[in-house]
Amino acid sequence: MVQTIDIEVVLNLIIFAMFFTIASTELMAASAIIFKYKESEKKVFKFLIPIWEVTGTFFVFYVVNLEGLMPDVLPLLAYSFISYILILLILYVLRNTLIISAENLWKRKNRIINRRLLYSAYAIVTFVLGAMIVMIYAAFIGGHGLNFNAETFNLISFITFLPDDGFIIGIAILFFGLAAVYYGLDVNPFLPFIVTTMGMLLSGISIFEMGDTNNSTLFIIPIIFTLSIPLLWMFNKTKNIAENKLVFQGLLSISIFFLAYSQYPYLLGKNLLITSVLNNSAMQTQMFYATLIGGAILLVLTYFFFDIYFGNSQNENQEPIAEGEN
Amino acid sequence: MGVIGIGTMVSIINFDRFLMGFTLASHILIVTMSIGFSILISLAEFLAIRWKDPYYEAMARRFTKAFVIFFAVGTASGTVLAVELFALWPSFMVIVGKVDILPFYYEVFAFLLESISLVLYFYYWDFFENRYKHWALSLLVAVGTVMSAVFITLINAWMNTPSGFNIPYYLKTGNLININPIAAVLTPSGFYEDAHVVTATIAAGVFLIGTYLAYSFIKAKTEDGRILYRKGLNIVAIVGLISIALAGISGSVADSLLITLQPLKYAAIELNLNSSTSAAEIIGGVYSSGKILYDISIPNLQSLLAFPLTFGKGTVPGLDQYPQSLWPPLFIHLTFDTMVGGGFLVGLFALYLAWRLLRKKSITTTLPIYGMIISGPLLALVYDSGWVTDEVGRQPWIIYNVMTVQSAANTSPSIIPLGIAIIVFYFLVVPFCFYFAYRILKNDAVETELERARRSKWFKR
Repeated sequence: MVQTIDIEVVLNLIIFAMFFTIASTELMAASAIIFKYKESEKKVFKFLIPIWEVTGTFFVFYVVNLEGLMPDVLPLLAYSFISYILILLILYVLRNTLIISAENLWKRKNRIINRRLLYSAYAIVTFVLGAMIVMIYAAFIGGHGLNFNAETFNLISFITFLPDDGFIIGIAILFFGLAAVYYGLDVNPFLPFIVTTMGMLLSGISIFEMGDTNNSTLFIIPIIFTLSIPLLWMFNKTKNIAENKLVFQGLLSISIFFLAYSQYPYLLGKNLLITSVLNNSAMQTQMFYATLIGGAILLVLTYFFFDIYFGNSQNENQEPIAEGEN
Repeated sequence: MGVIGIGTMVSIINFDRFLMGFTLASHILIVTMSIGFSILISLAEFLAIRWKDPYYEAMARRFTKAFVIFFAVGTASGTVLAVELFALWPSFMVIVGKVDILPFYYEVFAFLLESISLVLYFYYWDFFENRYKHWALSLLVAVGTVMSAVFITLINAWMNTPSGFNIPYYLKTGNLININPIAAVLTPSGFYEDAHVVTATIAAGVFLIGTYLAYSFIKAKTEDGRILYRKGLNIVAIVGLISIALAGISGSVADSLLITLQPLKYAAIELNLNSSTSAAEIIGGVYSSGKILYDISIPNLQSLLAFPLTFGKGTVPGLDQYPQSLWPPLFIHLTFDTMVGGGFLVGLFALYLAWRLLRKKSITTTLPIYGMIISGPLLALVYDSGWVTDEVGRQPWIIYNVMTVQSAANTSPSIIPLGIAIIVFYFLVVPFCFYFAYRILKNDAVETELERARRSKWFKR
């Protein structure tokens, strides 16, 4: 049986899925930049350059929605992760600074600070950011290292619980595998499927072992949807479907949504019942309406974005170029 | 309290205060530039399309490059602030989450509007066949940017005049009942604060850009450069005059409203020791042992400004009506004077520029140019002074008459080393942001951009 879910939580999980999908395009870009920089210049930057500014906005979108959904959880988050949050913020500002500098570098031939160095630094910072976000998420799922009453987080306790590490490493491997598909990198067609399957096995077993899973039957959806991406990419006839950004992101969003849903209604290794910390009904109602109206505006904007993005790709077959490059 | 001593806790609370204030002060500098740019870009592109003028086109492109840099850093620094709010003031954010989270949430959508529109506007500039469609995107960017400011200011207004829940019951029991999120959004001071903050932000941003344009005009080596910067200064003069005039009017109204909404803050910023029916305007001065020293006093002016519709008939509040333990630091009187005095000076300068433009005289002669160079930084000082007046004037409350700063703060000692790291980081990032924007603008020759504009299909028609 699958637990019925509150509509406000559904909206929050949808926003989380959207945020993580967009963020994952950056994580995949980061691995491509580190391992295949030359190819990235042609295939990755085309999509990364217009999208990276939106990722941060979606992060804020998720955080504010979470504040509105479960305000009582905030003190726990603030006290437990204060050090990590502040480091995360510094890295976030650094990430923006690095990529905007890389885009607009005025001396392209500078031997010390050049575009490749800046993009590589951006990629490393993005990796660390991704790992930290997944770490906080994993800590909230499993509760290892988190002391709910003392509002503290013990990193050693977290790390020494192997499924926590397995989850983070598994996610990293999974997106490493998917990167080749998303950006159409020149690799063996079987490789993404093998790597993605490995990542999925590791992260899947880990999340199950983390002890929060309540709707295990839902796992089947992320497994099928996520694996279908590299599977479609293996064959010439279906390769284009997997490389289609909308299809890819759609499948990934649905997978993330159901993966998160599989844990509902618990957090912290079944020690915290989500429904017991939801906001008051008056606020929930207003948040719901605001999400519907704002979501409609967002859908229209997203439609315009993809319309122009694909139109530009087909008409001119060239990447959007930052002004500094001209 | 068992783990850390009271003295340590107070120090951490003061550190929280400082960290938040520092981050805000850095952030608003970047934000003023973003808002100023978003409006000037839209105007410049509209004029470029309407008059088929490649100078305005080149100007819009140049401004957009700088805007993207400020946006990128501003987005990150805004996120830092958002997270700092619940990291440093968790108890405060619990109440906000339950009563007044809606403006934050609305702001996210304004932010999304701004960011997605900006991506399309900047990266796909030449994609649009119909330039008016491209220009419409600049409007969306400006609307998103300004609305972000509107919604965030609503949160601050709610902190000054809390509403949307049963306050007496909360003070008695600590429980929130009768929650009405819409009433919290429509907080009594919301409209007036928004009117003042938004117009003042536009004025500060536009004049700061004016400083860059004036400096560039002096340094320009070609005629094309001088023409471009002169046209830019014309727009700045007009937008600057309108925004600073509106900021002055709305500021005066907002100040008068404090008499009923936050009388203690009013008494502190006006340095009124006693309530009075014919209050003098006190300019300058410091409070010492129950007296005001070194001030200039203009009889009846304060009453006249506070009650203009009744020609000064009314009672202004005084500090003596409140226990001294609740008084905010009285230096806010000086920051208030700085705000009013500086704003008034720049307003006069803007009038002078408008007068010259009306008489079809150039505003690129010595006095207007050097005046413009000074006006930007002066208005930035004015803007920060206004912000300090508002925030410090609410002390010791984080939510006026509901929650003190002390009871809202995160007292975890682990904040301190990382907070210091954030401060150091900002000291690097903010100057970098301004320097980088300047270098990007300087790097691209005006002639190259003009040539590019002239080659565009739209200008060939």
